Amino acid sequence: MRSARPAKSSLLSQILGGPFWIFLGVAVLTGAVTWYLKGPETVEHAVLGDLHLLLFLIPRMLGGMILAGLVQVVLPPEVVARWVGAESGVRGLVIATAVGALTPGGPMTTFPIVVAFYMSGADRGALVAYLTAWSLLGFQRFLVWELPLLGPDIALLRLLVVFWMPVLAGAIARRLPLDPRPPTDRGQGA
Amino acid sequence: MKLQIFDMSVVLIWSLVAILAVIAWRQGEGKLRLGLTRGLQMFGINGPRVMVALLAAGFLSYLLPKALVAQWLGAEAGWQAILIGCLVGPFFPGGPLVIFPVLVALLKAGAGLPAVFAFLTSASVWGLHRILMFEIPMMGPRFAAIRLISSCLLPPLVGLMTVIILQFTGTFP
Repeated sequence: MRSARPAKSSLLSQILGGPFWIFLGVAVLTGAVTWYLKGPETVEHAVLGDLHLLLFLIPRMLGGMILAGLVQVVLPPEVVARWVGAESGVRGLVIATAVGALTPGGPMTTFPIVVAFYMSGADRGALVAYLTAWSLLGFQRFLVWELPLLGPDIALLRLLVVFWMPVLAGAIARRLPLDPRPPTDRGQGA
Repeated sequence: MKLQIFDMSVVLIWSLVAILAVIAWRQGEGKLRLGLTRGLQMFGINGPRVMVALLAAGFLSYLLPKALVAQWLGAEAGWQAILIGCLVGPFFPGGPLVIFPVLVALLKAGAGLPAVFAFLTSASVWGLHRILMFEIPMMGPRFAAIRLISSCLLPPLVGLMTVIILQFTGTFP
């Protein structure tokens, strides 16, 4: 638990905190530009498309978040730190890469899991390796999309080129002199 | 693009939830309750952010001339093509459902493998939709910056390595 906030600094103020307003501002701005450049029909079309996407996202995101909450309480932080913590070395990056490549599904479940591991003590290098592997090496994507659509030659050539890159990205992330703020306001309120 | 709202992935996610819930329940100490509360809180905090971010990302996708960009990439060759692949990748919404048809179209239009791989890499690791909709709302801008800086060399590196391997093996002219 890295949160130093008073427990009741109220969920509502967290929900409607800074990031929410920034995103709302960007949405209003891009919406206005779309209205101006493409007309009101396009805005309507975009909003309807978003509503459909939202229906698609909600059952997955809710599942992903509850999964993340349970992962946090079930996995002891010592175990997370030992396997993928800041001191886990190259082995930690390789583990994160392998797990990332094996994680199926879209960002709506992957990011909650990343948040959960972050709070449980995984370091940023491992998380960067995990996300890079998930997006670049996804095993499910390889089987379902790459092999059938691109053919084994092209698919395997690409695998050969990229398989080691998540570890590289993770190693760079560990050396960057930037500190990701502990996510005190990301579901750790209680 | 029509999204299937309920499919195997929903079943898979909720099955995992069920398994972990049983584990948490058997570990006792109120862990099940705590885990569920945390999950719901996370959803409560991030849900509204993702929702407004989704609106913004939806509008942005209408403002970008994607078809034009794909034509452009197919028409260029050599280093320019790799560079263009790196630069346009982030603007394509990342899911395989969108990316792979584009990939096949690019290959058919005569784009080289190095450029296509660079494009796929850039769409995967720099995908703006994903960064805007999920990464920044949930992990914060600093983490997103760290990840972007760490992976900024990957797409051109993929293009370069593909060129080298192809020249070495000579499999693809």
